Amino acid sequence: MLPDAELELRRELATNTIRTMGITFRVYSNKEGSIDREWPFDIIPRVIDRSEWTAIENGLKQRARALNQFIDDIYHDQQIVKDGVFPESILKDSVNFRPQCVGVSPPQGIWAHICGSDLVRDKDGTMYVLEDNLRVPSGVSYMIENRQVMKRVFPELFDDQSILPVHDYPARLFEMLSSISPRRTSKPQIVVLTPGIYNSAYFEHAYLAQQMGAELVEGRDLFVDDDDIVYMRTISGPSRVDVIYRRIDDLFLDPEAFNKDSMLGVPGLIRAWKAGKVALANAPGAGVADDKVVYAYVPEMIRYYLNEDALLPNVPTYLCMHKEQRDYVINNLDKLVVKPANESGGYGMLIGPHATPEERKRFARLIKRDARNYIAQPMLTLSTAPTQFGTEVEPRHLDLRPFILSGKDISVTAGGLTRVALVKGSTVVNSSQGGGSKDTWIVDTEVQ
Amino acid sequence: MLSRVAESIYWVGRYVERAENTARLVSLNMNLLLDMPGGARPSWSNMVKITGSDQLFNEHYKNSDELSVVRFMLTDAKNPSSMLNSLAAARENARTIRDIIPQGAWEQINALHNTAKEKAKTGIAQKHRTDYLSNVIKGTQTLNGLFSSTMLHDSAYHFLKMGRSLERADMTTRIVDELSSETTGNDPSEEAKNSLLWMGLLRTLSANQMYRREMEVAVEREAVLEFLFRSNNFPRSITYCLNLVEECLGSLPRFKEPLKTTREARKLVQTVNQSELTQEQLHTHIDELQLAMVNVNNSISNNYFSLV
Repeated sequence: MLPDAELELRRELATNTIRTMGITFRVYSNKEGSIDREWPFDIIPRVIDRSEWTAIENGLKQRARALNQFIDDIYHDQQIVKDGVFPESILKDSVNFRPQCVGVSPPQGIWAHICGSDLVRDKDGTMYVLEDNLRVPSGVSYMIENRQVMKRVFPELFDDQSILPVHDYPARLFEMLSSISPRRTSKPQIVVLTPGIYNSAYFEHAYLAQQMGAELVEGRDLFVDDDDIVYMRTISGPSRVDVIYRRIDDLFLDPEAFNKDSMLGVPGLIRAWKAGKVALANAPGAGVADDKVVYAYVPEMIRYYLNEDALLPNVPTYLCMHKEQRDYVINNLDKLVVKPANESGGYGMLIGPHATPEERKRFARLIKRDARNYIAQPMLTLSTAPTQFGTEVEPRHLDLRPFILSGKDISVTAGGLTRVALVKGSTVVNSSQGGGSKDTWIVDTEVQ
Repeated sequence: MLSRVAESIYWVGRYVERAENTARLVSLNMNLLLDMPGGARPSWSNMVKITGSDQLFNEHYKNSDELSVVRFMLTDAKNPSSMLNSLAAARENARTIRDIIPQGAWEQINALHNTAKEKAKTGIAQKHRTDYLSNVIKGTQTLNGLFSSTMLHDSAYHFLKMGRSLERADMTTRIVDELSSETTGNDPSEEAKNSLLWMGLLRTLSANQMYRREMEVAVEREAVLEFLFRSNNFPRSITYCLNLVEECLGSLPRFKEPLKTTREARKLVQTVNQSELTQEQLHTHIDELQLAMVNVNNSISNNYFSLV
């Protein structure tokens, strides 16, 4: 145990380290517009035993395999629909299904190369998957930076513990991206495509590019020529691009194929991708599986494609599209958490037990009007971890986002990004809504 | 290398150098004033003229008293070239290219800007100012050291150096232009004052010691001009800076156009014997030289940054 004064000292050291390292994230506020804030960090780490982690890791790999097979199936024969395992109606109304992607075969059949799955622990200790982020999941750079900060603040702890390292993520990401290059060359040109410095995750885009030694590009740095090849504009003239790790949403990627008003994208990019001249990670259309209704079917997908039982359980989910389930949800709004199927960042949710009767009424109306796009889950009693406030330490709710890389092989980060709800009693961990974070330690207790 | 990235690193070079030069200028003026006999002191408004922002200054300030000028030059948000705004602009440019800047250098830019901003209020007060400014100057020097010793010496580094060198050469011409106009030719009765001014000019550019080593004469107009315009060895002389730009261009692709304009600027420095010019002629010469350097800047920009 550290005395109060020492704890306070270490916290100050952490704050200064974060300032010097310039670890920031961007928030949007009506009053101040878009501003850079220092990354909120709690110095008490979250610890998970390695033996438990290995089981979770296997569960995540299994999930990523099934999800990728599902996406590939959906854009080809839709066998899972024909076999009656997955209802066609869900696909038809999916806002993330991209007709432009039908029939495209990306290398190795992988669509979701980078997946961030959110895990929560319930009061009985079970680790549940809360959702899978298959579009442009963010947060991994903070996982790495959190560790950097901890190593500066508590160097002595790393001496006598066996804590699994996390710094190899950019190297693995680089390897994975190299493995999907359509051009067989020893040094494929990899770029990270960012919407620009005003994006909330820009810090991360820059960080990953820097760590991989890849070019960080904006849409205006790229163009597609008549040969369907993607080039970047350089001081020596046009230069060919092989792999694009894109951090721009599907709809803004290419004004020719999607949103024609997009200023962020690259005209012709989808054409180049379909022609097999460039790899996109994640592939456009991968978001079809990043839908909270589709999520409810993941255990079935695992059975269907892999002939295995799911190693990690889903949180029980009510689909409002089914009448009986919808009726149950509407009658039990005070016990449930309601989520729109395709939002991210914790927006548009109803936390039933904490909501006012008016809010519940409003959601009942929303659900009736657009049943396909709402799901509900029982209110889990999320686990807590000790979190520092001045000289006090109090329990706060948290979740965990590990990152799964799928290329030729699948790998999972050792731990992930632990997010913590800094407001007492709150379960909202998103940094855009007052969440903070902790370093996550996967500790090998057997080598002590 | 991306055109957009080349442009950003070039401006990091320019803005960091601008911040440092502004700090030097204010610092010098203060030291110089303390040395001068009361009536002969050059006015603070000269400094504003050096940076070419007198019009903006007059829009916002009634008097060019010491504190107004110092605030305007160092910390005023309304002055786009103030030291603090230059540091902020350097940081913003660096932020967009963090993938090519070494982590330590990014941290230094960040810390430099944060500290300068935090201490701005007290830092501009007379009794703290010397410390405040010397910390900024040390900070930019540390940053240059980090760039030189931890960054790849590839195209990005050449763009950084070109930005820095052009800004430096530009500032040298401005400082010479303004401070030399305060001197009164070779009037012997004014000798003491003139000598102080030339000395001050050298000190602003951290050039006094090196001047003595290279020129081996007392501080006097002819030799100072010779040294600051034509020395091949002093890193703040105009010739040296332009040579460096030329050298950098030589390692870049497609250098034909910008190299031509750089050679023109250098030729201008070398074909004129500055020490023989009258004050009036010197002023005209400097105007021409500044124009030539604007051309260099524009041709670098058109050649490498403008997106095709």
